[in-house]
Amino acid sequence: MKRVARQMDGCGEDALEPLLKQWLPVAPRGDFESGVWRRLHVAGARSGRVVALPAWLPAGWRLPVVLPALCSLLVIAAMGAWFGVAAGRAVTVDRAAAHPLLSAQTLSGSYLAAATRGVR
Amino acid sequence: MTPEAADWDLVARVKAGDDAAFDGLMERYKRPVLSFVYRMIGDADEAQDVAQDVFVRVYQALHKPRFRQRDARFSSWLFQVARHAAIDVLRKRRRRPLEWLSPRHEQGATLSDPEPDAAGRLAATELGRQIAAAAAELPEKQRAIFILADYEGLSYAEIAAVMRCSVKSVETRLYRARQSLRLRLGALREK
Repeated sequence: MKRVARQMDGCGEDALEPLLKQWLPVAPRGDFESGVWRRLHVAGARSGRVVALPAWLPAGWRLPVVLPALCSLLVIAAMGAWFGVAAGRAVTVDRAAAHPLLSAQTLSGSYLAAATRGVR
Repeated sequence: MTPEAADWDLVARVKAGDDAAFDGLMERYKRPVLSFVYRMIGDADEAQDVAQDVFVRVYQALHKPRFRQRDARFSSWLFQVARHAAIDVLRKRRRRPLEWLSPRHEQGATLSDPEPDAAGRLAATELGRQIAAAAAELPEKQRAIFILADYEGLSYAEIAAVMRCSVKSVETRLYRARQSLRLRLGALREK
């Protein structure tokens, strides 16, 4: 405080010092620490665990890493399965088309589904 | 053991899962953090919330695997976190302006040397409000540097670590802050 008044040269240092003293800090309320712990508890961060995760996950992993990775894997697996089924069907249709007893006409329209089922 | 080493020792214990060590850190720094935040945002009730949030952020940061000790002093890092928390509040206020330091906000303030009579206390509160208003006119960086230097007693090097700028820049901003306050409070003094 004295430093403030000293450096405010030319402005009546003695008068400024008590003036600035009025800007006093607030005192922390008694429940300050318990308030912090309560917030940490709500955030699930007590005892070093920011987010509760299964024990088998590596210690350094946290939900922001694990959850997006799991979601991405699920999406990739679902897309892989869908493409796999679609490709399998395409192969089946190709085989059906190559069958000597089936002409191009029989593969068109409503015969297609029946033909592919028959070849399977 | 120096205070800085004692702080980092407590930090190491917190990282190892000792929550009592975090109570020790709070006991040591709750007053300076609350005081700094209060002077930055000017609202006693909100300052209590923000100061608690600062310690929540610190606790969470300490438990992150990538946490590294970058500053020589724990307090420098702590004041950085407090400053960013205060800036968040000021930004929110800019989007949703509130009356700066209304009398309701001042009710939470506790004077360490209270006036014996109600009139004196009211006058002190009014003066405090005017000083806070004068400081609130300062740009955020100047205000933070002024508070850290003149109320929290940090050295220029420590302030430079908190503000992530050079010591020269701290000196310049502090000089400008004092000049601005001198002008604003000079008028107040003459009343």
